[in-house]
Amino acid sequence: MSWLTWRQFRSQVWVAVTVVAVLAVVFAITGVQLHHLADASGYPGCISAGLCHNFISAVKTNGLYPFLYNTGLMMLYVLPALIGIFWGAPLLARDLEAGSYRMLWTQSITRSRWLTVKLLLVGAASMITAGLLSLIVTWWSAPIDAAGGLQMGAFRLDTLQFGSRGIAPVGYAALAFTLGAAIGLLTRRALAAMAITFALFLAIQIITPIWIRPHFQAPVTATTAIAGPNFNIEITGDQQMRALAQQSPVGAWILSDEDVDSTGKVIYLRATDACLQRSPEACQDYVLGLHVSEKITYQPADRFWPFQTYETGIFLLVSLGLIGFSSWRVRRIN
Amino acid sequence: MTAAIETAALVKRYGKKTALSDCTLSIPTGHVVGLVGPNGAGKTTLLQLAVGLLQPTAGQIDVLGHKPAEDPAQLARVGFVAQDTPTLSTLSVADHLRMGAKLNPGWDAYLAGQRIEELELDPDQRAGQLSGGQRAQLALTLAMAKRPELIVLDEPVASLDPLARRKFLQSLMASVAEQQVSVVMSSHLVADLERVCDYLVVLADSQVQLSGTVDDLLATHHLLTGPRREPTRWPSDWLVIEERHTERQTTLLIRSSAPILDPAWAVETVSMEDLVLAYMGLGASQHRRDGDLPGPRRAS
Repeated sequence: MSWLTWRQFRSQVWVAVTVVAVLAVVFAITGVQLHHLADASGYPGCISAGLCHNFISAVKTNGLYPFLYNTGLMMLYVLPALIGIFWGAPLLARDLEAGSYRMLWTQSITRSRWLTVKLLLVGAASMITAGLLSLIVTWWSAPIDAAGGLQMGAFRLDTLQFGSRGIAPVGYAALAFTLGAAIGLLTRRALAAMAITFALFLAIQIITPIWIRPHFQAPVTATTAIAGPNFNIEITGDQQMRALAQQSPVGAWILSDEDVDSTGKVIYLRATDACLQRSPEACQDYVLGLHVSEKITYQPADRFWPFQTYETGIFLLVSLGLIGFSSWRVRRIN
Repeated sequence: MTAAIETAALVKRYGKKTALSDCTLSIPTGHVVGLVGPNGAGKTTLLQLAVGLLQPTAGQIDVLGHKPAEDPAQLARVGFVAQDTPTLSTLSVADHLRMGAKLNPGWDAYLAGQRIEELELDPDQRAGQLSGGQRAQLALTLAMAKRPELIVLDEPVASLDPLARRKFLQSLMASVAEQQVSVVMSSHLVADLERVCDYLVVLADSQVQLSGTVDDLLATHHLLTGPRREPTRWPSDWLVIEERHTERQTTLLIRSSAPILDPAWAVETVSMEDLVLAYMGLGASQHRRDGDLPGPRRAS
């Protein structure tokens, strides 16, 4: 059965090997240059001070670096989806749809074995592909991530970066693949399975960072009263402003950053004429009179690897569940 | 002796639709069995139950004394050529043989290679580019080369042109003669079966209407033509399968082991086709009467 799986899957393996190899070469060459550039611009000494402007400016002078940084980020979201759609969904659905299952399941192997070998081999290929790509991209992006990304406000623990760094892509790939395969088993139509897999996996990619990941561990809260002279005022929009008294913790994933009143309730500061007309002292006095505090809720930087482990662990467990469901289901196909 | 296929009160439903209801039959080994019946009689369902692609809703089915597809050993005992003879369209003929070798412990590579050569199939050609007849031959080769004890074929020639059909059946018969394998083959075309089968099962209305060796069945059935008679009293050792009356003439298809002595009857031997059609009609009429009269089969 492993020979047959290889025979049916080998052209996709060559595609994957080629893509990963080309990307590895491109990212290896530019990555070495990027790391040199970082060393020359005060990295990593600038990290703890949160002062890597020089480095990021240097990165931005060459359009290639921002392009590759964003490409790497996007790739590791697209790749698991592609794996689910093109490797997972048709894996079982195609044989069921074409009717060739009637030939395959009457060879001298049980249909459970047919399923298990296919899931294990192609599933392993999915995880290896995602793992290799993540390894390349994580290494390449490390200096920029440490400086807070191209906008200097989003570190590797942040919403977008997190899913394309470390081991998380392996979990995403495993989940996308097993989800696609299970849906293919249910629909028995490759095209329908591909569409449903895409929609469901996209939903998972959106829901996880918004509703699940922030709850892996209770966030840390830091509240600083706006009192005395050391605070900034930022006009945020139409008649609105923020009072800022803190440095964001370096490397943290900021979940919320709000002004609160003395009871802890969120308040939105109205930008008065004094503030809009840039008369700083009058504005400062006005804000001080409001007795507000700046409250930041965040996940600290050192939770990156624990969170990576939780998320990947959960996805792998769900993948195992989907494999279990598939092997239960395949025995009941009538 | 264990039967090739033995069922007891076998039922298969798809949702509310009943494909096979209360089917009890026993098909012996050592024959080329033709399973014939009208479209929708449950032939495909019965055969797919026999190879384990379907599970029964109720009742029993045993194949060569075991539950269908219960383990790899049982799967190895039974070869199957499904309707429309599916293959893997992107794999070459040679790949199919390699697959057969990998997936079947009893694979006979020599037999497979020889068959492909005799059929003049190009080993490098993809299965998707083969003609219907060639694909059917490839599927048969796969089923044969695993050296099963029983080979089940579900309308293998239904979609083939007459020439390909004849070639397929010839190569089937040649393999059967060499390998001593039991065959159960379904078809709704009697002509296909007539050429190759020595045992006949007529399935209509998901019931077995007739079952026996072809020689026995042809020897005990007679087509009688004579002057019109009222359809009341026939000799007690006759089983009247079908009767037709015109103003002047009565035609009967009867089953009787005793010779027909009454000189008023002109006796003709029946063809397999006559027999099959008559018994298929029986299934339909039983269905219409829905059990309020015992059918001739039950009267016997």
